[in-house]
Amino acid sequence: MASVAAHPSGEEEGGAREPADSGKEQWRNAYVVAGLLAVDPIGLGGVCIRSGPGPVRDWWTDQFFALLPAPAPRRKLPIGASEERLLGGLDLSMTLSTGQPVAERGLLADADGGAIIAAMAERMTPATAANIAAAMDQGSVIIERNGVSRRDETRFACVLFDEGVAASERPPQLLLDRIAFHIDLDNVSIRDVAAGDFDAAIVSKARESLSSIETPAEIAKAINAASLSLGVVSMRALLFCLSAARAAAAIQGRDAVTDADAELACRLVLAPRFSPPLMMEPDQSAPTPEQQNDTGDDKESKEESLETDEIEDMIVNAVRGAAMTSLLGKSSRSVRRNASVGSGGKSGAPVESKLKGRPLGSRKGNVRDGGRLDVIATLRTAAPWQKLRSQSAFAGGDRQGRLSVYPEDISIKRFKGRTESVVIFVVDASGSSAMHRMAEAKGAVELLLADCYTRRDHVALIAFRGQGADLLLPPTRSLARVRRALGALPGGGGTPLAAGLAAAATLAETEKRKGKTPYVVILSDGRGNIGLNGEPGRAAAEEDATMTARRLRETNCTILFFDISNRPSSRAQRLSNELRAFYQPLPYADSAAVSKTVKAAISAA
Amino acid sequence: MANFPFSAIVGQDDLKRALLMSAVDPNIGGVLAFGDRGTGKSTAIRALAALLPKIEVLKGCAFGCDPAAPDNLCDECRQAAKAGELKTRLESAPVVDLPLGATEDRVVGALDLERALVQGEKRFEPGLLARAHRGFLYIDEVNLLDDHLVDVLLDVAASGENVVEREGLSVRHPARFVLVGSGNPEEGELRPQLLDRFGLSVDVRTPTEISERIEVVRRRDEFERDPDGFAKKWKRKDTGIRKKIERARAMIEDIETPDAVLEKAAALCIALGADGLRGELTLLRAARAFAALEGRDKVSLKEMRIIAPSALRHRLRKDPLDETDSGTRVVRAVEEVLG
Repeated sequence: MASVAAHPSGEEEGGAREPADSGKEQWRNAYVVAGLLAVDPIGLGGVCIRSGPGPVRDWWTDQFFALLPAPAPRRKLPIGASEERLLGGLDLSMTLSTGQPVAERGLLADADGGAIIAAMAERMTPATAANIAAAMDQGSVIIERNGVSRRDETRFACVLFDEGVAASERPPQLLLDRIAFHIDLDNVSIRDVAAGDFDAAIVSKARESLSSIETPAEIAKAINAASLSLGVVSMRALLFCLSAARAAAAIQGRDAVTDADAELACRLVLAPRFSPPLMMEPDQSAPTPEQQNDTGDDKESKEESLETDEIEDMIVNAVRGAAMTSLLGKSSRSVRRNASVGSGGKSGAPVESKLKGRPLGSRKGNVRDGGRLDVIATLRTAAPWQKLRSQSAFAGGDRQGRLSVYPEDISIKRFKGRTESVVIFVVDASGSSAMHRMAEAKGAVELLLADCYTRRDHVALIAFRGQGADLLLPPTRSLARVRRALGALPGGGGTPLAAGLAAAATLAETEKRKGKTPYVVILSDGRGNIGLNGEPGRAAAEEDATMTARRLRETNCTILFFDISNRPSSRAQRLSNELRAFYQPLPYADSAAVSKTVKAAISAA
Repeated sequence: MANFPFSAIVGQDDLKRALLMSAVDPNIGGVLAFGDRGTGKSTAIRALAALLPKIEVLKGCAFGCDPAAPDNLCDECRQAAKAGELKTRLESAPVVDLPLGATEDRVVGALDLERALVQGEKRFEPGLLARAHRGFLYIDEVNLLDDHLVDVLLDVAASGENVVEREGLSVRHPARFVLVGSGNPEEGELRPQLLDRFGLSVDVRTPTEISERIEVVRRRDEFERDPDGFAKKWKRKDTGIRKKIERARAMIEDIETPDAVLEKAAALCIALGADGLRGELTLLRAARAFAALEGRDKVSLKEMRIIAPSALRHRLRKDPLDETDSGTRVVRAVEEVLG
């Protein structure tokens, strides 16, 4: 009998765990995920694996494909793959050599029956993600490109490798939402990797029996109630839980889902989607468990509702435990990773984009370099020479009446790309006036955003207080998200100015690497009293602040420093000089003034 | 694969109502469905295709010209009309998907590549806009649509005509369609100009009622196990809705709008500071379409109350410091003005 009962990560085990042990457990979880996904690749969508490149990740991928029905196509999605590659379109060389339009299948169509693998998925553009999501939703790729109009049926699972360093570096949410599993392989060492409890034969049998597996009503209801009381309302998450539970039952060779299957499925699907209470805001729309029980159970017999409640409690506890464990794992990892963050990459200066933006006409070029073929311009270039070419030496008799297009005719379209800017607010949320400053910073963020969203500016907000800095709002241009993230403003405590500057530098570097242009707006009085290590002490804190200020300066982005002390202070001016920032005293923080100054700075840059 | 039947969609009453009203009166100006992920926005919109009554088109016309609109024909049909040789036939009303990865040439239409390559001939091949004429044009993740495609859409939606005047080609054809967009606001806001083109805007929420969620899952499951059988089971209900649309279309011209209702509509728009006349016009058109769907011969405040949030939600001036959701603001104003 095969066993999918991956190590249960109950609350009691969440605290002190040996790293090796947790690596082993992560691997066991990952193997179970591979199995479930191989049983129902379409119903479960795929998996997002947070992990750097390495043998463990490769091993997992090999195992997963070994469990899929052969031959399962395995298509790597190169980062920055053009839409042409992804969706398909006109096969230029075939078209030219045959003299007839020949359509070419893209990566998504080729992955039919297997999976696509996207490395560095955290850098995937929303447009690429939306194209993949559309294909997953419709089970086909619709191509309306460069004179080609067709539809290719395709069904594939989606494996995303998330190599993000910062917490805000994640694959596009619209894709994450469409895949059931989110796992972490970062703490798994090659020594943890072991063969799983089931093999391809069991998975294949499970796949066949999948459609006949029943889900008892009380279990479906318990899963439903559990996900609601955990605050995971998404219908897709619910469907994933049910599909995963069915797949788990199928691997076990059962004909109906049991509570153990439900617990396993929910732990894998819901835990990564569940925000632990400390980060969760009060949400009126999500009913509490008590309310939920009132609404659902009226007509049920006492006995059955009791049972549903028990299963629900079991699931909720399992998910909570798993979420806490992974949170602990994450924090240790991000420290390790952050230490190795180097200086930023290239600057996001305005560039001429090959693929996006407003058309600028066309130019001669090579389609292989990632340009988009301009068919009309190409034909037009070729046209005048047709007579001449048809008479040339190598034009055989069967080329009569066909168009001869030579490589030098090829034109690609030019587009003016626009660089997106990211305004990063770094706000001092310490001490007594914190609430006021935060309110003004929040006002400025929203004003800026409301004003700029036609220009596609992103806004982010870092607040520092207590012992460290928090990214309260990862870069976004969504008013909805801003409101949600800023709903509850934290404040008070010491002034870890250096941590705030360090967080800003990290974020600015990240955004630059994505090709965006960051602007940093600091609202502070320049007086830190908590060092980078979280310890109080003014002298050390200021030394740290000066040091991180230099690191922030190295990012070469425009920095605005609003001095919010009651009187313009020499310390703030010194720090501002260190940053080579634009300095502006602002004794009465005022959102309209901040927003105005920032806008002026962006348009001047 | 068969589409999920419209009548089998659980809940989402606002979205379904908005789509039906647009089917009754295309002049309402389309529907924007913004909201939570995984709520079946696209499912509802794609399901609409099965409900639309057939349309009469001029035979042989590549652009689906309407025999009932002789002033709005493509060049070829206009020639044919002069010669007096117009034949018609019945066709399904189109619901066309505009994929995000579409290129401009396929959207507006361009040279027929095959002819250009094989015969060296210059011939226009109609694009998606032509295909969507007199039907629906649907864009999923509309807030991610490339800016230059948005420009094209805005231009055509405003004039009802697609003019392709480049690459040495000169083609002009009618392109009137109901624009339907869906998306999630976390992906970014919509450009205000595009937002304004949508007549109705629906806020789609994930159901949190446990019985509703269970029903959604149950039907989804049933559909996936046997799509065709499921579609058959719901066919009668879908046909019923189509008849309802047909009836509503037939009677909408005769629906009376009392002065008192007109005044209240104006008062509501003023109270909300809803920009421009468009809000008022949409409000009235939508109320009329809704009354027609309900089989009433007169618009009353009851209809107004129900459709006001979707007609006005996206027209309020943004006040970034006011956290109130714009739908709630409309509901509040409706309570104050309409009583």
